[in-house]
Amino acid sequence: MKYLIFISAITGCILLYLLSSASANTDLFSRNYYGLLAVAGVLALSLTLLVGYQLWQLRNKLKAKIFGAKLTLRLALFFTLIAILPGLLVYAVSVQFLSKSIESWFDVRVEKALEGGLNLGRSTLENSLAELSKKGRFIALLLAEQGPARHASTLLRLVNEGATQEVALFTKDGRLLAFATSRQGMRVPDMPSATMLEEAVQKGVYSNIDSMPDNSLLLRVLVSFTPSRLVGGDMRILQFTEPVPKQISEDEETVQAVYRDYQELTLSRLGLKRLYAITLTLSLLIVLLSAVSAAFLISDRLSAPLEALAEGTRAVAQGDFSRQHPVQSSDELGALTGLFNQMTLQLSEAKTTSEQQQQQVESAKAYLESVLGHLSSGVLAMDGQFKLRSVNASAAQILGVSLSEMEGISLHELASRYTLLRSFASAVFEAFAESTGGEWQRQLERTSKNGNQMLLIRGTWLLTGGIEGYVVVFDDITHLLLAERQAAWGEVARRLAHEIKNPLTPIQLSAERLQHKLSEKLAAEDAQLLQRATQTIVSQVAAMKNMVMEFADYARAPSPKMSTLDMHGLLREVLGLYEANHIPIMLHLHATATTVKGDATRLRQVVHNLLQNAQDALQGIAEPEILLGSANKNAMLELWVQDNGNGFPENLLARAFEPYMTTKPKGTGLGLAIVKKIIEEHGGNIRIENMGTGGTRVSFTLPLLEVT
Amino acid sequence: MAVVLLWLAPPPALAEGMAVNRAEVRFSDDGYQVTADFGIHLNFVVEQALTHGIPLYFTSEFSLTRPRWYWLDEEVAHREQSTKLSYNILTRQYRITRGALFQNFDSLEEALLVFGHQVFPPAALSQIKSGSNYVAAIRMSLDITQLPKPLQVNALATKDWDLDSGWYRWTVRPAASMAKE
Repeated sequence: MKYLIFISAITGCILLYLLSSASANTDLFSRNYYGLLAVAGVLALSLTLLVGYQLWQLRNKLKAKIFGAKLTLRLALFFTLIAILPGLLVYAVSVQFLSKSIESWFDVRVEKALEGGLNLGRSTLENSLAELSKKGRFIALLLAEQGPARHASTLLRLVNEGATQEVALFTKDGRLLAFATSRQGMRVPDMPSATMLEEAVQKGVYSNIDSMPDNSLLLRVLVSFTPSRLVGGDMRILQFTEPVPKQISEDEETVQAVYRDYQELTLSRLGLKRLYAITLTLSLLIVLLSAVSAAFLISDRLSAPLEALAEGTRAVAQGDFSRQHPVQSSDELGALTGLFNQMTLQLSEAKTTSEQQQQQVESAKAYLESVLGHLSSGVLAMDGQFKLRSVNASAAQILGVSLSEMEGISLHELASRYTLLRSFASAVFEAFAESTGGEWQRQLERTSKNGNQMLLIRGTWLLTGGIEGYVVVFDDITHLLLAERQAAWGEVARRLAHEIKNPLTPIQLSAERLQHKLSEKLAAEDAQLLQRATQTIVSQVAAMKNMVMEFADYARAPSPKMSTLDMHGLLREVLGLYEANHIPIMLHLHATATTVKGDATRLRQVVHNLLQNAQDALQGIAEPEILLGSANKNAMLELWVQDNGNGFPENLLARAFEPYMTTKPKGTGLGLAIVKKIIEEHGGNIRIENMGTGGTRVSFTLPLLEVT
Repeated sequence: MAVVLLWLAPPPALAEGMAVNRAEVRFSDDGYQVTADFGIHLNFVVEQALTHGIPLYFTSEFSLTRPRWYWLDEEVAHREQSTKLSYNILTRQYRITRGALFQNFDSLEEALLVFGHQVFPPAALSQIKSGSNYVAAIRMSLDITQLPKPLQVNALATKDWDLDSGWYRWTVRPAASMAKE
């Protein structure tokens, strides 16, 4: 675009120079003026088109609401006004001046003066001519009286005397009779034409001024006369010629030339005005259109950085800080662009920093959450209205409710939604209401899915950063209590066994001694009575001893003798004892790794106890069946014994492993308790559950020996 | 010697303007000669300019072409001559100038009559072929470019200065026998 305007301006300048020089130079003008005018016209037209195109472009920009277009328009208008107004003013003055100055050339007085000069010259010439005719007529009269023979000598004499400069005598039909001249080298006179001769014959005299090729003037007078009757003969014609003096003819010529020029101007004044007006108008058009076009270009360039800045601002508003705009100028707009770039850079840096900080915060939060998540204690964080803010996995596990998606829900609502949580929630509310220092601790026994649960709850009221909140931390201490209870039982059993066992032996010995000493002394009838009584005492003492031994076994807990064992081998060894059994035992031994570290005797007792329990549970069942299985699970060996009996009573499931819990009519209630103790000594877990299809399944896990 | 002539009937009398009244081209063994009579009637504007002393230059052109159906016509000859018509205000005489020659006349009619008779001097013509047709064309016009510059602008603006007879064409046939068309 700018090259186009540049080229137009250069072309315009050349054209204008040519036009102005053509107005002065006639030859160039006459050949090329119209071509020049046409080229200039075409240039003006194309410039108009260019300006039109620019206007159209600007209109499109305005329509599209491109930032900076309005400024471009305003600037362009200003520039255009600045260019056009003075241009038009100068144009108007020039046109006015032109027409006035051209008109001022034409003055009536000048014209009159020129005509007067011309008339003066004419009358001078006419006077000379009249004089010459007068002289001619006189000489003709003189010659008419002479005989023809003397004509030539008379003429020669007249010339020689200076009466006339040049004279020639012709017959009526133009034949030369005599010639005399004062000019050197002239042999033949300037011959008159037939019309001149004819007029001279008819009117007696003919006079005329001839202009010669060298612009000198020649006076010519023809006079006819008839020679005297004495002589007789035809009419003769006398021709006098006399050049006009050089000074006069030159002056005449000057006057004539000026008059001609003046007339030329008069005739063409309209044309002149048109010529100058056209040149002026075309020049103005080219100059103004170039100026307007340049104005558009400059305005566009001025507002271009604004557009770029606007685009940048839009990009920043949309969060794109990556744009940097080149600084194109050293003026304020350039400085503004520089500042904008700086601002964008700073914003970008600030954004990066805040992102980093956010990331840090998030990682800290994640760290805290993972710590919370790995805590065995349940943690509930709540706001001032007891709405959950965060919950860890243990809390959900302990409470038996999926809490992970319950954030923002208040504890009241949770309590109304889950009936099992009511006691917990009311305990928490109550405790917070009662506590004075904001911290409290209490135990709560509640019913959970897996039976009774003992919770140790600690509550804290927090005020951090002006935000009120509550934190509740709780532990499931059911197992802890159970262990304590078992320990207590063991102690009791040991002491009881010790205290009871001691008198038993003397009792037995005493009873046997009584029988031994008295049986012979008594009558047969009495002896038999004694025999029976003694038997009873001995057997009961033995039973009691046995019971006490069991107690002692449970309580004594001797340290196990650990060795490497193959559990499948151990199972088969135990099963050998049950081969004669009437209840079939199905084997599902799927475990691949079966080596554990354990006390073979005690583990054998575990298997025995469990198989015995299953057998007991299957008394009176139609198709009894026992399932013995094994599997590998999480680096542990899992073993289970399952029966298809009537199942364990639900209300006793939770306390199945406590001592002296029994469903059998003749049981000590220590079987499962001992099993549990042995398994826990081996670092394993035990579980009892009722199968949905009926029957009970007892499964336990043992840690596998690491393969070295 | 072969002579080919063309006589043109006098055109309808023009109030003003120029027209070809008669044109003639004579072929001889050496070359050819062209003569033409133009009827010239100056309009008021041109006559006024002339009587105010502004010289008028007229250009008469002659061209001889051989038509060719297969290519552009071949121009055998082209001639141009310029004649000046002027008026001496001082002596009130009209003058016709052609080259170094001039002739004075007291009246415009007389001058125009002589002026209208244009004679192109004989010229040699080597490439002429007997028996084939040629197209001769003649034209006379006022040479505007020789006018004073301001008047040229006037001439451009008005039709008054458009004095042009236009090309007049006729077919000639240089032949051994006399031919008349």
